[in-house]
Amino acid sequence: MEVGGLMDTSQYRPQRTGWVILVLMVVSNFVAWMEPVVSVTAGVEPIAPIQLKLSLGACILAAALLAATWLTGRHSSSLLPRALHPPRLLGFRIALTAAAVNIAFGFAIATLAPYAAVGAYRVSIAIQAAWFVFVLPAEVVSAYLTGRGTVRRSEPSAQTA
Amino acid sequence: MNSLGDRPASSGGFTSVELIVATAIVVSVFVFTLAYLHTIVRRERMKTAVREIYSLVLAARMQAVRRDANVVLQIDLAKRELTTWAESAPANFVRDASESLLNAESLPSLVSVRSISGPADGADAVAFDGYAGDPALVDRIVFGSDGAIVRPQAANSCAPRRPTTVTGDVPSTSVNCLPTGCRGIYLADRATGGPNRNLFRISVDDFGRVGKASLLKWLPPGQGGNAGERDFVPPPWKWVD
Repeated sequence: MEVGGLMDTSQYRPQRTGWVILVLMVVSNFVAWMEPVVSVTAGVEPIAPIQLKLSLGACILAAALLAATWLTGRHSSSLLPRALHPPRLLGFRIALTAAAVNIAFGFAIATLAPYAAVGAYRVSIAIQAAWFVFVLPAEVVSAYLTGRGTVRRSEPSAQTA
Repeated sequence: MNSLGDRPASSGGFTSVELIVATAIVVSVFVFTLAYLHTIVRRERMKTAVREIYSLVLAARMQAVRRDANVVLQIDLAKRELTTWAESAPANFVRDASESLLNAESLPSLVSVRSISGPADGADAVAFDGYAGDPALVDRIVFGSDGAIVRPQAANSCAPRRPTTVTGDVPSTSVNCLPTGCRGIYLADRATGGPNRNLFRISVDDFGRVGKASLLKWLPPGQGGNAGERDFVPPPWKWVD
């Protein structure tokens, strides 16, 4: 039986699941930002319009940034350092970690913030500042690596062969 | 445009894959924004409506103290209207021609007035009934000049009890409304019955005679309330979507 005719063994064949990684990060950002806003509805006080705008704005900004970075990665022709190989797998792992942190952030705030002594709003601010410092940059790196890993590039050896 | 989407990195333009991925991101942002906004707006509208009525109760109490007179807040379920007036002698808890309105507000349209087990706009929907021996005087809160309420006399307008067990979901400031009756204005976000609704209770003088108003939310046993009780709890509230 000839297996080679049925299976493509090329490591450069694109795997079309990059969108899953991006959408995973985009959606998990909503959990991190919107669950705290939803948790405010548990109290008597109304949601501050600035809080809602900030949360929605962060989600949309992150989505635009990830899409742009992913496209940049796909169109980039610079060489990646060895430490970042294989970029797709690394990007996927970072995306998974970022999504897990997002979900943990969201549900931690939603569960604990209404009972916090300093107030739900201050707890949200502190955690969301950490999101800008740690999670968003990680997601950007992940989107770039995913972009780099989802496009077939011409190999020097193949061109010279 | 390259339909395969796996063109060399150096070529210009966007592939179909890139456009599809961008579309997927936009769609996911749109869907999640709408879903969250729908939840938030619905809850905030209900909270706003309930707080408006709660504010009217507080305002009526303040007027009674300020005017040193009885002030009546009547909830007319037929007209869906809340009216407030100050009583002049003789105090009959009915608005006479000489008694001018202090305030008149409409009930917000999204609010359904109904108790836990009764029908919408039913007899127990506003359980502040029976004054001066007249069972026909219903659906009104009467504040005395000291800020406390004149106690309604109907069986459905009794004071609540404390919950038998204090838990994380049912704190000590909760109330347990007996099935026989418990005074309050009951405001739900939907007219259908069962525990799948958000039901608020506004009341005055649950455990004292100082005119303290309370705004609590029903916590059915299936959602954390004590078994066999009708617990109304303070925030943070659990919502039923």
